[in-house]
Amino acid sequence: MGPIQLEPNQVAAELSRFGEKLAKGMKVLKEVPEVHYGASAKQEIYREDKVVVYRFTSKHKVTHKTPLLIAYALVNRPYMVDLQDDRSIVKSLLEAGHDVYLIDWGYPDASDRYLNLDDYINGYLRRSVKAVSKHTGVDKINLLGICQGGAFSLCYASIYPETLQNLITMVTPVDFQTPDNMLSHWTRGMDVDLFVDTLGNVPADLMNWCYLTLKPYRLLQQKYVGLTDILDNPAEMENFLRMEKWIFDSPDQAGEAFRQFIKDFYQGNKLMTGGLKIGSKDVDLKAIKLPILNIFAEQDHLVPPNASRALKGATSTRDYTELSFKGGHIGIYVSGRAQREVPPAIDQWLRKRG
Amino acid sequence: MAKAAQGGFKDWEALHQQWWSAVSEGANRFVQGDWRDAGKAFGDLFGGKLGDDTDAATERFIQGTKQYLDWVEKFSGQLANGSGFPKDAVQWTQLFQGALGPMGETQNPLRDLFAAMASPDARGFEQVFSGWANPADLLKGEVQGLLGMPAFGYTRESQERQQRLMAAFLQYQDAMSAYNRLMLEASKRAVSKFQSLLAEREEPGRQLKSLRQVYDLWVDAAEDGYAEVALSPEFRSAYGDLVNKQMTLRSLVQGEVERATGQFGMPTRTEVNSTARRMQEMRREMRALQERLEALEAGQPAAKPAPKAAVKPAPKAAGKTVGRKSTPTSTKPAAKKAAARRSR
Repeated sequence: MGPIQLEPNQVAAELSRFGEKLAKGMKVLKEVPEVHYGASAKQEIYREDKVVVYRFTSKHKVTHKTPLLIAYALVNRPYMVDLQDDRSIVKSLLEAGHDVYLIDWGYPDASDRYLNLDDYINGYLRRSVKAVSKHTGVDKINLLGICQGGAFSLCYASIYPETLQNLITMVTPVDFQTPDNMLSHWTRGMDVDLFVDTLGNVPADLMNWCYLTLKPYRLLQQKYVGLTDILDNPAEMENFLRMEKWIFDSPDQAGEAFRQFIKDFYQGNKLMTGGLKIGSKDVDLKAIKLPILNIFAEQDHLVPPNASRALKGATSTRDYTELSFKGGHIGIYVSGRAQREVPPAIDQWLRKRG
Repeated sequence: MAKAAQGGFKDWEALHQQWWSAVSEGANRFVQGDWRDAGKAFGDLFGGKLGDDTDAATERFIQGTKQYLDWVEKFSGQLANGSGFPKDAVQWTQLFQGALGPMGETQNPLRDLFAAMASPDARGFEQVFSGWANPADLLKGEVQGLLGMPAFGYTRESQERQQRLMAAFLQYQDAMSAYNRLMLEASKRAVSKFQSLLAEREEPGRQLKSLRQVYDLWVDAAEDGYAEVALSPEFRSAYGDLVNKQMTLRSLVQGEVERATGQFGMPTRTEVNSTARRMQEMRREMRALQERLEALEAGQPAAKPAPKAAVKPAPKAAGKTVGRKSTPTSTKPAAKKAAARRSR
């Protein structure tokens, strides 16, 4: 029996349906309202240069005494954790009684070209933690680092363990050189000095283009062909467009921070193998004795699960928990499964540890 | 295969003749006629934030759909015009290849995909220099010989810069060719993977029964083929070389632009960088002092000022830094003097 069984009349019907979807889609596209993001109200509690720390406000009573600060990656905007009403990790954590804070790193411009990792980790991140401590009147806080923000959080926890109660890492690369890490594979042939000396800040479009070419057929074409399936559904189109906005609403990368991140993390793999310095401070994962919850995604093509799993045994903690999520790098924040599994897991884990 | 299962050839011919009208209700209007209106709708959705990028965002969707419809047209055309209805994975793959077009370098589908979908800021210099490409190819050997000739006289410095620029362009072209060869290899592997995946679908109950299923299986195969190549040592080397050669070329072009604009009194990137660097150093010093002051006011022992962060010397005018590996150095007096000289 042949592998493909196509009937002309069925194909004609399929194409006709496709055409109808496109026709209806055009109408929907014209009528879908402007997309907004952010489900939870928030207030600014600290600002420095372009960095802002927000506290999410909620009608729900705070029942956890230790506040939770979320440190997102520099390469995308942090509103992914509070995208919309039914896709918000923040909203679920607020409902569970957590006092949630978020660092918004802002959009670096030419005046930020010389921001380096010392400025980000020993500077902005440290002072953001301090601001949350001061705001809540506690000595130690919980830190949730996501993706690159997770790598920053590990560095921070190694240098300033006395300021943290618990550490949660989400889709965080630790071993940057696992064999399936395509991004890492590509960066290792780059002369990053020449790259940054030439470009200065690294344009967001260039970064996004690089991410898209990790799976070019799927992300540049199939995704948009598949879009026709929901083109006549205003609610789903709105969700799609919101995601699309988030994906391409990316900050440029401060040149010096990018240089060091590529050299020390991707090319040198120093977070894993040692020898990493942030400014004048040594980073040693073995200095971390805090309880750690490490959450990663099994189908993550940006941070392969093994890159995150490497955290197990890399620190000195006696309280290490892993949560393996069935999904991808983005689904872990916004999928229905993520809403059901991730915030409750974080809540229960923190609840046991104060 | 029973005739009922595969359809009569006349039916396929009729389908192919009518296929465009079958989708015309939406597709024609969408991808050819009124799509600019849809583009405006996209722009409105983003509250105008996308600005000039609105067309690019729309293009992503339009291109993805249009490429799919182009493929559908060619695929059904192959069925209508073929000498016989394919019976197995091998024959289907051949037909599929026919729909994709020749797999020659000039019609590498992956390269075409990249070219069609790249945003303006992500495109390399290939488009900027596209006008140069063919003459440069024709004269390559001769040009390379000339580039090695010594420069002299009043304009020798300028001649040398021009020679470096042209040499960098030729090297960039070579790197792009090497990269494209690997893209072509990825496309070839995709075809072979597609055939294997199709063979698995010969098992009863696993047949593909719609164009979308065929297309989706092709995407699976194409991604697998691409991933194999993209994770190879050859690709790492070619990719790195392409990026590095493009940066070298950019850097030299930036140097020329700086020289030209500098003559008209325009501020240059080097000068802006110098200001940004000083500003960043002042920010750090101010924060350190602020924290010391806060600690003293709170009656805590103030931390001693941290040693100054290592500062990498600012590159000279971009054109002169090519190929130099930057190494971080501390702000020793000599480096400071050099920095002062550069920033004058």
